[in-house]
Amino acid sequence: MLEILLEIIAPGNLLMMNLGMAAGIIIGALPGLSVILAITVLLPFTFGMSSLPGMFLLLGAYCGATYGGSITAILINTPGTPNAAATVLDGYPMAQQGRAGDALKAALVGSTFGGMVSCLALIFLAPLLAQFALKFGPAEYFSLCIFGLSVVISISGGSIAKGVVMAGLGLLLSTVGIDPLEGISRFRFGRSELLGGITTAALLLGVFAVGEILMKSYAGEKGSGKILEYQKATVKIRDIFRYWKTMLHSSFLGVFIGAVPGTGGAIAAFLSYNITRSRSKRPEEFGNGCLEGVVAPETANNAVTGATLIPLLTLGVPGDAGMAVMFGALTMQGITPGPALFTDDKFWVCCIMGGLILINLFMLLQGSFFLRLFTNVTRVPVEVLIPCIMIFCTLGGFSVRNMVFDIAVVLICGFFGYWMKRFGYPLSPLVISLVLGSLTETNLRRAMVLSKGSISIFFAKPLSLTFLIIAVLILCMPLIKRALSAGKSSNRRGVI
Amino acid sequence: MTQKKCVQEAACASAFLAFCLFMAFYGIPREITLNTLWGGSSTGVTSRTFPYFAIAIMMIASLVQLFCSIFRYIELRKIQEKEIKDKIEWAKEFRSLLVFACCVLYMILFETVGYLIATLIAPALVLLVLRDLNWKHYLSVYIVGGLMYLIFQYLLKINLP
Repeated sequence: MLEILLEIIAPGNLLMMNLGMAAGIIIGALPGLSVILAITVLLPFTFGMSSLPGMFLLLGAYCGATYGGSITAILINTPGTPNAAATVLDGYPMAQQGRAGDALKAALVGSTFGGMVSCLALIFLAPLLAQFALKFGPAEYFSLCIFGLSVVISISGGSIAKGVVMAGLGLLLSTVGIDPLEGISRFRFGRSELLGGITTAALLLGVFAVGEILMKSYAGEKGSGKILEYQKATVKIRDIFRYWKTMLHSSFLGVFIGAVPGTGGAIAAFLSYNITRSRSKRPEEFGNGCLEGVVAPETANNAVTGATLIPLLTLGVPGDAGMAVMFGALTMQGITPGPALFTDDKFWVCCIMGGLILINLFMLLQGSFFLRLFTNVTRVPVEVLIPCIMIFCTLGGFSVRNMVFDIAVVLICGFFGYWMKRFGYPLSPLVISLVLGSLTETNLRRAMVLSKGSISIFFAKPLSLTFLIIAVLILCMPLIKRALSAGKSSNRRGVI
Repeated sequence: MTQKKCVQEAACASAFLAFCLFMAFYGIPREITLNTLWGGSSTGVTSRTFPYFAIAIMMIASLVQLFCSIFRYIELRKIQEKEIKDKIEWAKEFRSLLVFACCVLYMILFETVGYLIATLIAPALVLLVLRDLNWKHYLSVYIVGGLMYLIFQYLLKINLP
């Protein structure tokens, strides 16, 4: 225990937590830049580090960016990240009333509280789930991957067919390079650089960062929007804790939603906001600058942060694109997420869990002391951001394997991602299926060899069958809904 | 949804379908040799199994997408007699393509003349493409570029060209 504590509070680790947190808050506070972009941009910095400081840097950025999105939501009426979309509803009216400081403080306290609860959930739930997952065989694992992918496809928006195409493409891309079972090369096209496959980092930098700068160039955004002045907070922390019930139920909701693969902070924040408003004695105050209306979504979206690590660390299944970046970072450090991590690398897992608590405490400190500084970030114009992200992407691409070839991969992925985004194809299934590809393939082939080439093994095992049935149901849900609504309308017509 | 969008979606689905057919009949057989020594090959499970599985998923979804967009197009043609053509915003398209060209140029310069000179040229070109002539913005980008050089070269010990 003492050893874990000493490792967590090592100066290098504390520095990385704070640097990641500050970078995350800054990127999150820049309008239009997402949490995923924050950790993607920081990913190349972890290549030269050992696993713990690297993970702390990324976790700090993840938590920081989730909170940072609320700064622009409150001051510019534009959520910095989708997670902060619900914060706009009451945060901006508060800023218009000259209470921007109060709204920002409420967001900070709510975010810290939500983050802490989610850390506790990670500490208590993850080992239990990992214990259960140790019993999984190849068939169960393959079905779990398919289930994870189906959830991501269904949540990522747009048509399910487009999501499936992207997931298929991601799985195909994951096969580039050396076959994990037979050791022969696949899809090399005569290039030795492709032997190592398409790295997750290159794909992520491409589709999320280069794609983003191309989208911003296309949209022709200029300047930084109309910014309301920051006023010092007058509300005390104990005033915010008057809403402890709201904070508690928002935290539980965030933890629950975060633990389900494919969901995210935005869903948790909106759900929490709606529940809080419907439970409130004064629902008419919501939308007009109500403190509780800021506390609820901010607590919920940060409660997602620790919970999303549960499926990643215990099952090796990243729940969203942000976690896919974490997965990429871990695999580059030689750490394979999954149930075995809790037996083979218990020390590392405990450090990560403990570190996450500290990260949330640092968020409170940094938010309290440097909030005015962070609010100035919202003034950075888009024209400056675009070349800066271009520099990050080029350096990031190069540092993956010290090869210019990877910069080319980043650019190709970026160009492809940009057009796919324009045509309404979701990018999260592409990234997550690339990350899950190797695990899915290994388990599919192992299971099929065990069953002598028969696919019946996936239906004979109850848990595997359950995962597959749920996956099919999730993917067919739009069709079921359409059929039900068509049935209802024809019934109504019959009555008329 | 407009008729134009339906045509666009059908074109996308057809492109993916063509890609799948190319990979299934040319890409996979040419790029993945079979290893008969591996135990799994006797059960028919080879290194080609998973790529074919991925291709099959893509093909089915692309076909669904293609048929859906064709049906939607036919439905829309019945309702809307003639669609008013939207103007393609060439300036926007051109701007994003120019920014991409700057990224490619940056990569080429990065390899040929090195990071520092490349960073002096390419980001400035991006700002020009975005019609930004504010010198403070150029200075900010150069400061970020310089900082990144110091971090990568000396802190992370990555040898930049």
